[in-house]
This record gives sequence, C-alpha cells and structure tokens, in this order.
Amino acid sequence: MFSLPGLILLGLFLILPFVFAIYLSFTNQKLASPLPVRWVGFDNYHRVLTDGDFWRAFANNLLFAAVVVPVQTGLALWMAILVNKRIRAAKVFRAIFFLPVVVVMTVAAVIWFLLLDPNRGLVNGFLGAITFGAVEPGWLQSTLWAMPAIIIISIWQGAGFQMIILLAGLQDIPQELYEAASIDGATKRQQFFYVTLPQLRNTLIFVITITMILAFRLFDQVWALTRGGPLNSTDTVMVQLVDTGFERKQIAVASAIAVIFFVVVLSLTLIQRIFLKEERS
Amino acid sequence: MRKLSRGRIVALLGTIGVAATLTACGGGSDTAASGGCDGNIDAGAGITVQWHQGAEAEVKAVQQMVKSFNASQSDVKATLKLVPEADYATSLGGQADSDSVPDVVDTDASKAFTYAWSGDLQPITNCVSDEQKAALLPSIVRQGTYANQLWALGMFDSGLAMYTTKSALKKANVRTPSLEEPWTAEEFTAALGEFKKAGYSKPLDLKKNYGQGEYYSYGFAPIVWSSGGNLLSDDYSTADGELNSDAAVKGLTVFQSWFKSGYVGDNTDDNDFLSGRSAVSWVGHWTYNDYKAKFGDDLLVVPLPDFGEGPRTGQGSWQWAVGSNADADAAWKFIEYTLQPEQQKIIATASGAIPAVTAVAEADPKFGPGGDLELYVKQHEEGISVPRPTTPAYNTVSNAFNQAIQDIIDGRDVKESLDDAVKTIDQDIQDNDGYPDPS
Repeated sequence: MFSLPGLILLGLFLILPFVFAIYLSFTNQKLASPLPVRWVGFDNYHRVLTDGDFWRAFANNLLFAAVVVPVQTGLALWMAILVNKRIRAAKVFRAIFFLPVVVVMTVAAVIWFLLLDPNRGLVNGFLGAITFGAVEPGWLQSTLWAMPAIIIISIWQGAGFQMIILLAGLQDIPQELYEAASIDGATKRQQFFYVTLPQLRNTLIFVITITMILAFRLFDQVWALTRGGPLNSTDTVMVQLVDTGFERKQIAVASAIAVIFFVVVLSLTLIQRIFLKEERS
Repeated sequence: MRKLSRGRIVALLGTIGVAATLTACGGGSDTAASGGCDGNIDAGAGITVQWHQGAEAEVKAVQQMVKSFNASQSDVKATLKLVPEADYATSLGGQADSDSVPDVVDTDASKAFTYAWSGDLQPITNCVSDEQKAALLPSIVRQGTYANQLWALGMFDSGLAMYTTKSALKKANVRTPSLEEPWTAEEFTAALGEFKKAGYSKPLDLKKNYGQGEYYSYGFAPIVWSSGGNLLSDDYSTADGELNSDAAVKGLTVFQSWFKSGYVGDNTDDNDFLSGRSAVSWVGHWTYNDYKAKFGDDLLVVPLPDFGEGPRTGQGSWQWAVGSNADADAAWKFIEYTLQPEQQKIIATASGAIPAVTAVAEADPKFGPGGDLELYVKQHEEGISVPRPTTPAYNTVSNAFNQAIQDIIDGRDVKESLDDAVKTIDQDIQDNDGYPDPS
C-alpha cells in the first residue's frame, strides 16, 4: 500500500513508455510525418542487426566497458583507501578527488577539448616537452586516440563518485578486525587482501555493476566532443539511438535499438550477478 | 541494489519511450496543407512570433521590430517568443508533434519543408502580391518554394566566399581571382602550397571548429555542385548517381587532399585567419564585420574555387513561415512589415547579411557596385548560388551529407563515404513513400 504512489510514478514514466517503445519498434512510426503508421513486424530489428554501424558502436561500448570498469574501480578503491587514512590533508584530497564529479560533463568536455587540442593543448604540450616531441597523439581528431581520450575523461570524471561509495564501505569495516589481524602478525598487504577486500565485497559488486551500466550508457562526453567520430571510432549505441530517433526522426528504428540494448544490458547484468554473488547476512 | 540497477536501465530507455509517446499522440492529428490568406484579419488577432535566439544583435533587432510593428498599427498584436538556437530544431520538432507551432515561426532554410510536409505550416502563396515577390532577390523566393507553393520568406539571404588579404596574395605571388575568373581547383590547391611556403602554417581556414552539422552541408555542398554533381536528382527522388557521381567524388577528393597535405587548420580558437596562421578563410557573410575590423582595406572577398562547372555558393538563411493554426492574414501582416525598407536596413546591419529586398541591398554601399560584398549580391543575381534541396527529405540529406564530409575530412575513402550517404538518403526517401507532395 505504501509503495503505491511510487509504483504509479514508475508505471507512468518508466514502464508504460518502455511498453510503448516495444510497441513502436514493430511499426514505422516517425517524428513529424503525415503518413499513416503501419505494422512492419521485425523489419526494424532486421535493419538494426544488419547495420555495420550498430555493431561498430556496440563493439566500442564493449571496449569502453572492458577498460573503464576495472581501471575506474581500481582507481576509486586506491583513492578511497588513501583518503581513509588518518593523515592531515585527507579531507583536502577527498574534496579534490570528488571535484570532477560535481562538474557537469558537458562543461568538463569543453575544457578537455581545449586541453587535448593536438597542436596547442596543454596535454600535448606537456607530452611533447618530456618526450622531445616524440609522443604527441592526435587525441580527439585521430581514429586511434579518440577512444582512449574519451576513456581518460570518463575515468577522471567518474572515479570520484565510486570513491565515495567505497569510502562509506571502508568506514563500515570494524576497526577490531584490523587490530585482531595486526595482533596475529598480518602485514598491511595481508590486511588489505584478507580483511579489507572480503569486507568490501558487497560494496565492490555494487560499484562494478553500476559502473558497467554507466559505461554502456556512454553518451554525454561523446556527444559533446566527437559525435561518434572520427570515422565511428567513438560511436556508441546511445549516440546511434539519439541520432536515429531525433536527428533522422526514425523513432521506430530507435525504439528497436532501445529494446535490443535493454536485452543486452540486462543479460550482461544477470551474467555478472551469477558470477559475483552478494553475501546476504 | 537490484532495484537501482534495473531502474537505471529502465529510466534510460524510458526517456526514449516518453518521446515516442508524444509522437504517437501528436502524429495523427495533422491535416494536409490548406489555408493561406483570405484577405481578412480576424478581429482582435494576437500572434506569436518565434525567433531563434542566436546572434545578440539580431535578437535585439527582432525585438525592436516587434515593438515598432505593434506601435505602427492596431489590427494585430504580436508577441515575441525566443527559443535558444542550440535547441531550436528539437523545440520546433516538439511543437510540430504537439500541433502547437507558433503563428509566425522562423526556420532554417530548407528545414522548413519538413514541417510543410507534415502539415504544421500553411502556404503563403496567396498572401504575397506579384510586386512584393518581384522586389525580392530571386534566391529568397526560390528558397521558400516547395511543391509549387510558397511556404517561407527570409528577411535576408546568406552567401559563401573566401576571405583573403591583398598582402597575403602579394607575399605568396598568387593572382587575385574574380567572379569572372575564379581560381580553378588545381590553381587554388597550388596557391595553398605557395601560401605555406610563404610562411602561413595552416594556409586554409575551413571553420573546422563549427564541427559537423548544418554548416558542413551548407559550406561544402558548393564543391559537389561546382564539380557537376548534385545532392539529389532534379526530382528529389534519389541521391544515387548524383551525390556519389564521379564528378562529386573528384571534387571532394581535391577537398580531401587539402587536409592530407596539412593545409587546413583546426581553428579551435576560431582565430586561424585573424591571427595570420591562415591566408584564406572559406566561410559565410557573417564573419565580414570581424575580418574588416582587423584587416581594413587589405581584406579581399573572392569567390569559392571553380571545380569544373564554374564557382557555386550556398544560399538561404533563416526564414519566416506561418504555422497551420494561425490566421494567415494576421501572420502575413507581420512578415510583410519585416520586408519594408526601414526594417530591412535594421536587420541587415544587425546580421551583416544580404537584405532580401533587392533595392535595399543595392542601395547599401557595402553590397553595391565596387563594395566589398558586391560579390554576394552578384552571386545571387547571376545564378551562382544554389538552394539546398527544397524538399522534406533535406533534413536527412543534410545529416547524411555532413556525415560524409566529416568522414572525408577524417581520411575515409571519398567514394565509400558518399555511397554510405546515398544509402542513408535513399532509404529515408523510401521509408517516407517518396515524400508525396501535400495536397
């Protein structure tokens, strides 16, 4: 009974629209078209699944997730442990690490765009200076370096958020465990592997799952910086979806992409849950 | 935790769903094109005028225009509504889907016809008198015409050219081109090499900082036209054999060679030409005031290179159209007002663009004989300017073509890029049953 208002909102704004998306994906619905809407069966699915650009975008999403999930989680864990130490500047570090999260991605993207300018940007200026001009990637303008650039920006922006969640987990670990471990003669390293990690298990699983879903949702930074280019090297499924639905006005095809994407992400999440079971107390 | 993760996926997909729901509600109620002027303004008519909030000076001019319009007569009361330019297409799309397009609405050139086709605009053919039509630049009328009806009229027209300086030409020992004797593509490519040797690190500024979007279509379609290709067939039924023709491939291969030779700057700070890194800036009329302020009498405005069929330029700019729910007579009264000489002068000064009324354009010393920008007026009068295809398919044509341009800039095979664009365009035309004319 108490959940009724929430359920109504969920139904109205999440479930109903998604049911609509499923329905639309079987029609030829377009934005701003006077033509009658027809039932087209699986045509839209066929079109999406035989489109090389879609698979390219999907592969980019996989690559992005494969790099970002472990690296970002690892970095966040390292930062969380650092700021959890009882050192003087811990609070300052905590604020600095969290700062990128507060910056709106589109704003951050504009700044990164200038930093990564291949000819006059700060990043290449620095790389060029320390390598005497040997390493000066084309970053967002190059098919090889655009994805790494997006990955770096994303990790820079996202890690602070994971750090906060992990920090909360770290502070939940009873201090007695560490005391007991040190009495038993465990080194710092052993304490990390045999106390910290097992105690953080549930938090880590949560962080990994969320990071993976966010990684698949990759959109803002790509849209603001490269629009999927150069030559589709940073294209993602979300970019394809928005492009198809709103730029090309093919809402039905975009709905098909949404449904396919939903199924894929759902299955990946389920697979992950099978392999990484949470401990229930 | 499970709830949160699933919630996020659903939330993300839900956004699309909501948009789709809106479409489903709005799509069915549109009716085919009808309406127009009947000569009577309905009593107490108030109209909403919508303008894209882009350049500050233009916005001020339009605000002033609405105010003086209201003061000048008592039949129609106009209210101005400003919509940010960045979201303009999305906003207008939403208004069309919910059947609430304002009475007078400005639209970006050929993008108007998407809404003419969907029944969200009404034609203004019978609002305009023959004299009024004859007083306008031919390019203005051409840009507003689709399916044998006039749907939109611009207060001003646009144009492309290349800006350079007398001193740069002298320094690199390159001849001064003219509309009668433009640079050929080969000559221009060679000239870029000379400029580079003369010390211009990135001799050509193509405004790459504008990024992929309508500007790429507008700015580089002239290469296709000048090479003898086209964006679409003359009947707008297909792009095959036009956009991917040998002529178009040849022209755009030359375009690509400028990037491969390192002639084109990224212009990330929008300062390549002003700071002297570039010798030539290929862009529209809107940069003239800035360039003139910097270079003064040293500045030269020259036509785009000739790729074989003579130079070509883009044309058309934002133009007024009338929403399907409006009293067309009241709406037209406002549009008519903006085409009067005094208003024309105000908006031309504010936008730096070519006034739509020929007499006003010719009276402006800038655009008149011997003026810096005479080229822009001549290009329109002599048929060198080509409208972007006046068809509802233009939206897709533009998206596909500017994607191809981006791919070509990024070094992809020219033919392949254009073939892909053709596939996207033809698929869209087929999806929309060939965009039958509104009856």
